[in-house]
Amino acid sequence: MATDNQLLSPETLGRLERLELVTRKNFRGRMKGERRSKRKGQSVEFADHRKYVPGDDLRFIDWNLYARLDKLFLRLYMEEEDLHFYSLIDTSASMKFGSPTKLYYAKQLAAALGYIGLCRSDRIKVEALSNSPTPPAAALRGKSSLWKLLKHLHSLPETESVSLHDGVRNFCIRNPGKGIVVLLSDLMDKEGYEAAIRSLVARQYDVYVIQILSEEELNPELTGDLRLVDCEDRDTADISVSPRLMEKYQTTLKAFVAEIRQFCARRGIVHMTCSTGQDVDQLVGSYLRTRGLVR
Amino acid sequence: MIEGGLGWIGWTLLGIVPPAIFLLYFLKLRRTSVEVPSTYLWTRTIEDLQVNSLWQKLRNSILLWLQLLAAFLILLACLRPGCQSNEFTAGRHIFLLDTSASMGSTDVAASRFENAQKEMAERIRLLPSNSRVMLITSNDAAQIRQPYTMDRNLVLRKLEKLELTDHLTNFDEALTAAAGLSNPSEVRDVDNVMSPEEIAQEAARNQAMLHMYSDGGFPEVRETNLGQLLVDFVPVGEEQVDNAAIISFNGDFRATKNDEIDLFARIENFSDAPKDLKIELYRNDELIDAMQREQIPPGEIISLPFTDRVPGSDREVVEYRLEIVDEDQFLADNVSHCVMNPGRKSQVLLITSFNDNLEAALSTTLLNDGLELEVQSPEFLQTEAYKQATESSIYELVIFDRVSPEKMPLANTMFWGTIPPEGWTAEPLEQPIIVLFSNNVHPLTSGLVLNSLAFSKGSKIKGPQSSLDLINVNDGALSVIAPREGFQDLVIGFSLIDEIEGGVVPVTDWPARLSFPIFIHNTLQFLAGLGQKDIQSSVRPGELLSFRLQNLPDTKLIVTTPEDESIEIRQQSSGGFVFSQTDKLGVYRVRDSQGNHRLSFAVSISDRRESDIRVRKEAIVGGSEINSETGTAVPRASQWWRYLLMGALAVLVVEWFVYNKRILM
Repeated sequence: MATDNQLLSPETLGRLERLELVTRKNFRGRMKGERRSKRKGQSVEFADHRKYVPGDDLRFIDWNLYARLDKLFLRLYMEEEDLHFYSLIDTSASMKFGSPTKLYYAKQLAAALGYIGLCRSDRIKVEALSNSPTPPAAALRGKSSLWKLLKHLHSLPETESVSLHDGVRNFCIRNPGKGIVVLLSDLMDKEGYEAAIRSLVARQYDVYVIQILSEEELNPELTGDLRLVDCEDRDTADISVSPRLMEKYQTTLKAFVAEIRQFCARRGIVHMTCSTGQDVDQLVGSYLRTRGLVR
Repeated sequence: MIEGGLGWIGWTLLGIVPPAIFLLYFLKLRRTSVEVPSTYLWTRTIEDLQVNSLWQKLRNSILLWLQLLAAFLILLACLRPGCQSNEFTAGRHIFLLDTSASMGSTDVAASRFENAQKEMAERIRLLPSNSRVMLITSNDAAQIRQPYTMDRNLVLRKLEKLELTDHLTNFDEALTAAAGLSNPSEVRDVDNVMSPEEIAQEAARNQAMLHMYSDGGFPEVRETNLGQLLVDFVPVGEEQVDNAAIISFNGDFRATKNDEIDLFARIENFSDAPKDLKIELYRNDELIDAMQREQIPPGEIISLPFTDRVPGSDREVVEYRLEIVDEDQFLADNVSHCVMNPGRKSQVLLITSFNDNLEAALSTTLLNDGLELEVQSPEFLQTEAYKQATESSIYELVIFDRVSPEKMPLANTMFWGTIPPEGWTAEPLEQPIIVLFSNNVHPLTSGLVLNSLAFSKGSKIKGPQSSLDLINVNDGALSVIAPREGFQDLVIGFSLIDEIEGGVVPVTDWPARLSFPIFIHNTLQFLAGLGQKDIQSSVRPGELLSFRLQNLPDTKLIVTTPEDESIEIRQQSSGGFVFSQTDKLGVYRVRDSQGNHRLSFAVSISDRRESDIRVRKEAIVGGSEINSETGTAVPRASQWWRYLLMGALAVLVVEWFVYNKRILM
C-alpha cells in the first residue's frame, strides 16, 4: 500500500515491471533502446536492401544476392531506440481537492507510468504545468532512476496558478522532441481545454489525456443555500441545493466529459476519466491496458 | 364583523411580524460559503436551470411568500372576523344549562345535552377576555356550578364535567337565582348617598346577560322578575321528533279481591307521524303480557288496562315494568315501573280502664282490616314495655282515656277527658255545655254535625301556641289539636263515660250519634294513617321520599338503587325514614338490616311535559315572552378566525415541506 511519502508500494512496483508503455506512432529515439525506430540500424530484424555505395560497411553486404544477381546490395536492419515518455501534471489549486487529492493521484499515476518506462529503458520526463518556459526537467532512464523520479514528483509545486493552455504551450516549448505525452489534469479550466490539447496535437505527440475528478466533483454532498467559491479565481456561484439542481449538475458533468471525449477522439487522442477513489494499481493494470497505453 | 381582541401592545407586536419575516428571510440569504475546485460546472448548471425555468426566481423566494401568507392569515385571525353584526359586550354573563332528562334526546347529533355543551363552550370562548362568567345548571332544581369568574378555562372545565340527569325541568329556581345575581344587593343605596344617576350607572355596571340553553320543556315562570337581566334563549333540539312515552302507569289491589291487581297505563304519541308500538309488561322481570298497537295518530293518548292475579300479593312486594319496545329519540320515558307493596296495618294503643263505646268504635270490621288495636290498662304506662314501645315509635296513635302519661310517647296522641302532662290546661266548663262551632275545614271534624250533642260535664281546653280549636262550646274550646315535634296531639275535653262507685255512667250521648264513628274513622285516618300505604310507590326523579316501617329489627334500612348501589338510611327521631337519592330511573328496593325485602318504590318520569320533546322556542319568563329570535343580543358569529388559523397552519406545513425538500433531500 502506498503511503503519502511512498507513491508506489513495492507490490505495485513488482506488478509494473511486467508492463510496457505502448505508442501508436514510431518515433525517433535519442539513444539505443528497446523500441523500434524509424531509423534503420543494427538490430537483428531485417528491414530492407539497398544498393551498395562506396564507404558502406562491407559486413552488411548480402553475399547471397551478389552471387545470384552479380550486384552488390546492402542488408538493412530495423533500428531500436528509446521512447520519450512525458507525464504532464496539472498542479493548479483545483488539484488539491479530493481524498486523496487529485494532485497526489496524478503523481501516483505519473510515477507508475514512469516506472514502466524506466524498466523498458525509455526516456521518462515528468513536468508540471508552469507559467515560465524554464529549462526542461532532466530526463530519466533505467530502473535505477526510480528514486530520482519519485524525488522529482515530491518536489513538484503544489499550487502553481497557471492556465491549462499556457502550461501546455510552455511544455511544448521546453520539449521539442516527440513521444508519448500523458496529460494528467481535471480539465476544469474556464478558458477551455481545447487550445491546450490542440497544442499537443500540433507537436505530433502521441497524446493521452487522463482526466482526474474527485468525489466532490462526481457526487457533491452539498445541502442548503450555499455560495460556492472557486479556489483558483475566487469566482462565486450561489446555489440552493435541490434534487432538481443536483440532477442537472450530473447531467452537466456527463455532458462536459462526453464533450472532451468527443473532442479528443476526433484528434486521435485517448481520453480517460478516473476518480480519486479508484485504485491506481487497478487503473494502470487493467483500465489503461484496455485503453492501449500499456500492455 | 371584526373584533380587536388585542390591546395596542399586542397589535404592535403582531405588526412587527411581517417586517421581521422579511428581515429573517434576507438574513437567511447570506449563504454559507463553500470552497470548491471549480465553479465551472456549477455555473453552467445554474445557467441551464435559470434559462429553462420561467418561475425560477419566484421559486427561489417561495418560502418568503409562504411565510408572509401564514403571517397574514394569523393577523387576520387575530381580528376575529365573523358574519354577525350583533356582538357580545364585556360584562357579566350567566350561562344556564338545562340538565333535565329531555336533554338526553337524540334528535340532534349525539344528544341535545352534548350539543348544548359544545355550543355553550363556543360562546364562552367568544366572550371578550374581561368578561365575568357564571355557570348554572338546572333541572328541577338549580345549582351554581361556578360563581362569577374571569377565568374562562375554569368555566370550560366545569362545563365539560357536567352530566345529564333524569330529573324533570323547572326553571323557577334557576331563573330566580339568575335574576338575583344580576340585580345584586350592592346596587341598593343603603346610605341614601347616591344620586339617581349614580344608581342607574351602578345598575348598568351590574347588568348581566343570561344565556339559557334548553329545549324549552319547562313550565311557565311567572313569579320571577328578571329585572335588568337580559335573556338570550338558545333552544336546543328539533321541532320534528319521534317519541312515544308512558305518561302514567299505576296499579291498585282490587277492592274485593286482594290477590288481584288492576294496572292502568297511558301512552302518548308525541311524534309528528303515526306510530306503531309494541308494548310489553313484566312482573318481577318476567314477561306476562305483550301487545301491538298500530298507527297511533300524532298526539293521541292510548289507555291500557291490565289485570294480574298474584296469590299472596298482599304479603309480598310485586314489581311491574311496562316497556315500549320500539326505540325512539327519547328512551328514558319508554320504561315505567309500578310497585305493589304489601298492605300495612296501623298500630293503635288504647290505654283505658274500661270504655266499651270506644273499643266498639275502634273494632268495627272495616277498621279491623287496616288497624291493629292493642288495649292496655293504665298500669301499662308504668311498665318497661310501654317505654320501649313509645320510644321506638311502634304506634302511630296512642289513645289515653281518662289517663295521662308522665312522658309523651313518640306517636300521635288522643286524649279523652284528660290532657298531656306539659303545656296544656283544662278548666271545668259550666253547664249547659252547648257546641257552638266545629272546624269544618280540618279533616278530623269536616262534615260532622255536633250541635245537638249533650254533655254532662266537660273541660275547657287550652293548648300550646299553634294549637287549633276543633270544637268550640259556649265557654271555650272543647277539643284542640296541636303539633308536637312532628306529631299531633288531639285533646278532647270530655270522656265518653265516667266511673262512679258501683258502675259507669255516660258523659255524653255522642256514641249514639252517627257523627261518632265518622269522627273515630277520621281520627284513625288522620292520626294513625289508616288506609295509607307505608310508602308512596312511585316518585319523580329527585323527589324526596319519606316513609315509615313497622317491626324493624333496628333503626337502619338498606336501599338498593337500580344501579345496584346500596345506601344505608337511618330512622329519624320522628320514627320515619327519609330517602333523597332518587336520581336514577328504576326500582329501588328497601331491605331491613337482616336482608328482608320490606318494600320497593319506583322512580319514573311519567311527565307529559318532559316527554313532549318537541323543542319550544318560546318561553314565558316573568310575564313576558322570550324566544330565540327576540332574545337580546344573540350573536351567531360564524367563526372565520378558526378557519383562518387552520389555513395558516396548513401554509406553515407546506412551507416546512418545501423547506425540507429544498434543504434536506
